[in-house]
Amino acid sequence: MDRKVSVNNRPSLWTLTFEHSDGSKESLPTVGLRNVFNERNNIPMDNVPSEENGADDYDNLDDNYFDAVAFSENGNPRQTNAITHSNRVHSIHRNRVFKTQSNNIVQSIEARTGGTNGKMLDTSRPTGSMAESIENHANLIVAKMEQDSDLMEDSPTAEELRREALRDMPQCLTLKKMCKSKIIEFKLSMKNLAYSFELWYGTVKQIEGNFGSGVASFFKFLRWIFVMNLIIAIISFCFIVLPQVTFEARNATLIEGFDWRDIFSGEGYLTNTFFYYGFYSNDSVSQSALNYSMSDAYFFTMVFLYLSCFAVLSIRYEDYKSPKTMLYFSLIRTFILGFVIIGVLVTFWLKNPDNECWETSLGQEIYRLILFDFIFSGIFLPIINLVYYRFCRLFNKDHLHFDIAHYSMQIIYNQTLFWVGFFFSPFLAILVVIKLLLIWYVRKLVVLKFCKPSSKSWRAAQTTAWFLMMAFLSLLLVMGLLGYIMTYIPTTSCGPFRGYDYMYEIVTLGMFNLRKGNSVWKILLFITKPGFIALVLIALCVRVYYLRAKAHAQRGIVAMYREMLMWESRDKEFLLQNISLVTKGQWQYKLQEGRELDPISSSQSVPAYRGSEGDVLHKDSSRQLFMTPSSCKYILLN
Amino acid sequence: MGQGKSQFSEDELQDYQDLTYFTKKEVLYAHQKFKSLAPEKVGHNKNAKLPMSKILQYPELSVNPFGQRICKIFSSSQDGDCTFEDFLDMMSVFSQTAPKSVKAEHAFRIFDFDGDDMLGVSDLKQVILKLTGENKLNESEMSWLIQNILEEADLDDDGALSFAEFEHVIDRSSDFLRAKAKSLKLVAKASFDQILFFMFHFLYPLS
Repeated sequence: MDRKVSVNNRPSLWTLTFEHSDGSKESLPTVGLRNVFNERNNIPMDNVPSEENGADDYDNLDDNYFDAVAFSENGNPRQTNAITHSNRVHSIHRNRVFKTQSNNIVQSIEARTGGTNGKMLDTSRPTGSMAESIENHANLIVAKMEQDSDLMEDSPTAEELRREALRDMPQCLTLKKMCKSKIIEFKLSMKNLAYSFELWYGTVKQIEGNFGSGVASFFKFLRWIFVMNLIIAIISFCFIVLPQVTFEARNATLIEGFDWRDIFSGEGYLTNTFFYYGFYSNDSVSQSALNYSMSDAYFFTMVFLYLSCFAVLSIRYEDYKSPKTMLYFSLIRTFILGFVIIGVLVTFWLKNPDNECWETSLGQEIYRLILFDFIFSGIFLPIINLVYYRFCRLFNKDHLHFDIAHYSMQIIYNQTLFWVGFFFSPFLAILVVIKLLLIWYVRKLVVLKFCKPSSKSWRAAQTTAWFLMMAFLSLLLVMGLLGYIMTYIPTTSCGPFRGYDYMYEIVTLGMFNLRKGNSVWKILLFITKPGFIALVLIALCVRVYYLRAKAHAQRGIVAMYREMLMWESRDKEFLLQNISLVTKGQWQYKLQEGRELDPISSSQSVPAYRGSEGDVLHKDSSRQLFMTPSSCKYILLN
Repeated sequence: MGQGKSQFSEDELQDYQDLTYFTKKEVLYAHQKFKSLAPEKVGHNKNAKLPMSKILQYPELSVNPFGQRICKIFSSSQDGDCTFEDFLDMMSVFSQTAPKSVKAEHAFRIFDFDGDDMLGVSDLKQVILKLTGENKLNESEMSWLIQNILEEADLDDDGALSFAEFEHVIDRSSDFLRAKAKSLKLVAKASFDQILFFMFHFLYPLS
């Protein structure tokens, strides 16, 4: 960049040179030389008229050439240039225009030569302790390289670029070696840093290593559900439970004494606490100037959470959807069983509203189900597993496999219960998070201690897709149920919606209460305009079209890759056959016998290959591969 | 081969292969050459530091007028003493597979005697002295020669060659060499000599 400035600042020199050499045949190379210099350095040639044959016509050069140069420049006033002088210090580290002139390559060269920093060279001349100075210098170079994202990427291209950058660096080998090891260190630490953000990364890897990707996919699913519930718990706690508990005095009339059995029944003392729907008031919680409407908060937080869960699940499910569907019979069986239980339960409470606050009762029911599910599958089942394991060890029998389908369905069943109960018991989210956390460790213990790896291989991607589909389906059904409750079931005298006939009225009445001049009202009016809707529709259509086109293109690429893989395996087969011939000594024999050094005839002596109808290009490529000793070595090594 | 392999691990060889223009086999060959300079010392420590006098016994360096200078440039301790890694670096840069740009960078450092990152008049003088030997040229011939070099190559007229100018003129001179070789029916050999050829070219009118 500096160079560009310095050259462009000297138009007079170019013109002078040209005036001297104007029209003279001998001086053409001079202009050519400058042209070449300019081209190489990307300098626009404003002042130099381009000569047609100036740049490339080196063959016309003769010994007069240098005389001509001497003649044309003799008598030129020597122009010294301040800017050029300032560049002296780091001329060796300048960017050189490289194979391609794109910006990133230039950047990478900057990194590889230690940047345009002139001081770099000085540090390469050690003054004090030598080893220390080399170490410092290596640190500087690595620091420069780390700043270049193209160079530090995790792709083969970037690796090749790094290798080249290091190799071409005009530094001593000891220093290069140090840089290389430092970069590897840096990359490893970056990788570890990235993984340290992933929850239970080590555990999942351990399980994946010992029991395969199928079992690991269950644990990944469990982790994913856990994280989702954790987020739900945090949001519901912040927006529903916390305001109610902090600002509102307890509005429960009936305060029973606490009994330890209440923990299992979910009734008694717990009925009128923040556990359940009935406890929440329909008032506005006021604190000085702040107004916080509990019913609004309750409704909108719930709707937001359910909708976002729905969106996230559907997106993830779409991501995992694989073209081939395999029927997991046990998955569906367990799923239907779980859903029937929940369905019967909910129907019972909806049809028999004998209780004055059936919402709380439903919440209690769900609470009990979730709790007992944990007690059975989280405590009793592992104990049974342990006993069974001991028993098997004692009689030298095969011990049990990890039943992925069963355990994942248990998670989905639990999640479905949670989705039903969450609306009626906001605090349930926190309990479920704790439960999942415990389940995680229990399952981990079971799988690592009592189970043996399954001989049946699972297709992890499809398994995950099925888990997600089940979870998605259950949420869809639960949302349908809740929608029905909101619109068709009259509210009772408890909970945050006690002022309304139906729950959905909070939206409709709230809308009417908005004044005409309100900005929300304006936005609503704008959104419902036909023009806007048309715009959204068009945008959606474009998006769909784009996705379709992309999918089509990707399918094409996949087909291409598949073909390439096939050819590659054919190449390998061919080479291996030849190698086996070489090892048997037949290759040499053929050469001597036929007195043919041409490899083509020899390769045709491989019977299996002669018959194949592979195209000519392919044959040629494999032959070339075979003829290079390095590729031969490569194959032998592998 | 087995003898050489015992001194290097696979990882070390891979490192050397990645960082030089050599294959692993060539690295081992280079180490044999290095070992032959001081068998007992290198046999004891594969990366032993050999004094410059030993390195200069290497046939290719002993006949090179810039031998000492080359040793100094490649020495990691800057005093001419070379470890095997320095030696390997040297061999790699001078090998046929090394790109011209890398050769040019090192050549520039070799010619830059005073270390100011410019080839000034004094640098050029020393280069010419090395090439021609002492007392072959008188003062006026020498200054005429330097003047010619600068006029040909010093594009920004600051009285010295920067690296960019130097690299450019090397590119130019190898093209020139090719043209020349064609006319003389010589086979142009792509080697480090190309770079020196540029310097030699200016000696023609004197002889």
